[in-house]
Amino acid sequence: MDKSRDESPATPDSGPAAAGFAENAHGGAAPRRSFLQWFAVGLGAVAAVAVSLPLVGYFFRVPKRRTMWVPLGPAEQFPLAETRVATFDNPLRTPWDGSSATTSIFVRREQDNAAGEQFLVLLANCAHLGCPVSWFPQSGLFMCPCHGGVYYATGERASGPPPRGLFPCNWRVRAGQLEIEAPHFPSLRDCESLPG
Amino acid sequence: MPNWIATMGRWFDDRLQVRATLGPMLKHPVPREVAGPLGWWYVFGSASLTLFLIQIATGIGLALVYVPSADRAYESLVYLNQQQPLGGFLRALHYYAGSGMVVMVLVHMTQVFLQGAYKYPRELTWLLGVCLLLCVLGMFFTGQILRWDPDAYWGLAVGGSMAGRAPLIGPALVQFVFGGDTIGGPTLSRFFALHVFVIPGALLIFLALHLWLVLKQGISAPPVPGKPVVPRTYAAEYEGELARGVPFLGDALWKDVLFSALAVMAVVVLAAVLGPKGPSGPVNPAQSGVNPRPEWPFLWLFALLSLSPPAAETFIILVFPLLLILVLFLVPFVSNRGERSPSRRPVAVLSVLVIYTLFGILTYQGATAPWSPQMDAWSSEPIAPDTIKNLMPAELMGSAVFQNKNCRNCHALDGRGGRRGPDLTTVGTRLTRDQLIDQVSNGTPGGGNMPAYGQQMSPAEMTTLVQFLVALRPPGRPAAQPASDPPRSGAP
Repeated sequence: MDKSRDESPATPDSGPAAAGFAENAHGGAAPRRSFLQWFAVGLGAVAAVAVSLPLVGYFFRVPKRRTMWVPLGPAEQFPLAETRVATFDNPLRTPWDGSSATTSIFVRREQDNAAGEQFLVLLANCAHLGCPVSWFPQSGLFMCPCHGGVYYATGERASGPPPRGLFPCNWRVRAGQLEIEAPHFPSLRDCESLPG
Repeated sequence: MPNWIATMGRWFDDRLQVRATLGPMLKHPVPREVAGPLGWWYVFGSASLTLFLIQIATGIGLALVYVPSADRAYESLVYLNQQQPLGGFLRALHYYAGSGMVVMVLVHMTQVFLQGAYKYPRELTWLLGVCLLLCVLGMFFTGQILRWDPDAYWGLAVGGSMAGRAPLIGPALVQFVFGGDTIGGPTLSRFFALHVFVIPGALLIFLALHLWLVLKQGISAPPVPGKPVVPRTYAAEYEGELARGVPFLGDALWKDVLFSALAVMAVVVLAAVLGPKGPSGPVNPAQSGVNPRPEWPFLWLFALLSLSPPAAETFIILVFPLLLILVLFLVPFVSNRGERSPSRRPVAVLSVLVIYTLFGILTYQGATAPWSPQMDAWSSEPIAPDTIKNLMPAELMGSAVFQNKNCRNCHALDGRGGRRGPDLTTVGTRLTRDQLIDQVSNGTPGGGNMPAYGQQMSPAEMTTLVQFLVALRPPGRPAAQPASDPPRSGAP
């Protein structure tokens, strides 16, 4: 009777020594056990990959959304050369986002000539660290409450720590309606105005 | 004790082997001095542990009511505060016990550093302690997010903007942190999972290893000047200490119990008196004029980010915290032998003083945030009647321009208003008319702290504004003179 607990039951007809992981008490490796070990390690590796690949994919992949356009109302309602706040529900939301999907952006109609309307749409997130800037029409400046970044009406940086101007947003006019591309969090992608 | 209880106890212990396992742990000898007055230095670790137990209990309690959903979190917190019996107290206790835990962990760490307890053979205990500190800070940050009020939302925006600065992986990192393209429901769920599963799990593992090492390597004896740690002989010396030591379950333990009880009483009283913190309001990213502030353990970083030059900023955001952690990790490897007593380690004592002074100043600056414009000062802080009493009409018009152009958001008059720029109460004695026009028109050269107002006001507004600023002098004080004339200073 084998008293050692951590050994597998010895097979009564242990064959000649063969290649294996561990030698048993009888001084040779049983081929069946060696095969079992290789098989266990191999199948274990396959199982580990099979379970971790989907897990990693689940944790790191975010659903891809198609580009979505948000109507902001008739283009004419935005007065020329004035900055207005537009508030909308960001369609990139999940159904349970609640009020956190409410987004406000700054819209400025720049000119209205033969070439058509020109808009400047700016995200409210400060280019420094993402805090919400406020628009002061009296002085024509955007100011940030966190670290004091200041921008001109064009979105250009005026002073303070921001490394760049405010993030512009893609826009288009369809059937007299001003539409903007649903904005991502701005450090994801610096929106550039569409040509034309 | 009735016989049947003793019999039952023996029956269970025969099978569970509790006495054989825990007995030696509780009765293991500790250095004799720990039972004496010097033992009061050893109470901070166990107090951190006690507060952590409160966090587990209160955390489970809060999870019974709190809903980690972006559209319901606020309501469930208000319900906890107002409707759930003792819900507000539990929230307050969770907050103040958490704050107390940060304090206790820092004090514990400082004591271990100052008394050289991290030296051989307790380097790994220190490393695990640093991991525990990071977990506690991680719990604080993620916990603040669960409050899901404007501070939480904009705290996430700041975190996202920081992560977005990482080269190459920035955008992917932001998406990973937010769980989507914007801050919303998946973001809250992620931070809930971090706060409730991931970080506590890591914390428990680190804690178990930390305590295991405390048992295996023993509690360090109080440092004795002139008795350095020599790894070759330390084991034998420590054996000697323990040979004349006292059991842990005894006088050494009662100090821990007493101090932990005091710590618990302190957080209970704080929670009962001060009440729950927030939520300050529902998240509304479209609301203007919010004034986001981080929780107190992160105020120093908030301050650092506003005081640092833009060129160094990405470094400070991405690399500096990692460097701090690396320095903490390296402490026991830079000096794991030699003197332990603070009286023989002036550099260590000086480092602690400098670090605490720096972090203290930065935290104070972060709490007062003088660099932040006061966004409503232009309309909420009137100019004092005394200031405008004797002004000429053009100067009076200039004072209206001063308010209207939001100058007050950054510049105080008589100490009221923003503090980002200098107080202008007596600017007329410092700057001449031409200097003022230059300063207002062009702002700070190179795009520093003041924006250029040249395009932001008409020539008439500029003229009257500067006339008003020149008139801002105490009675009897002359206006500033051009640089060719040496300026007269002080009262005549």
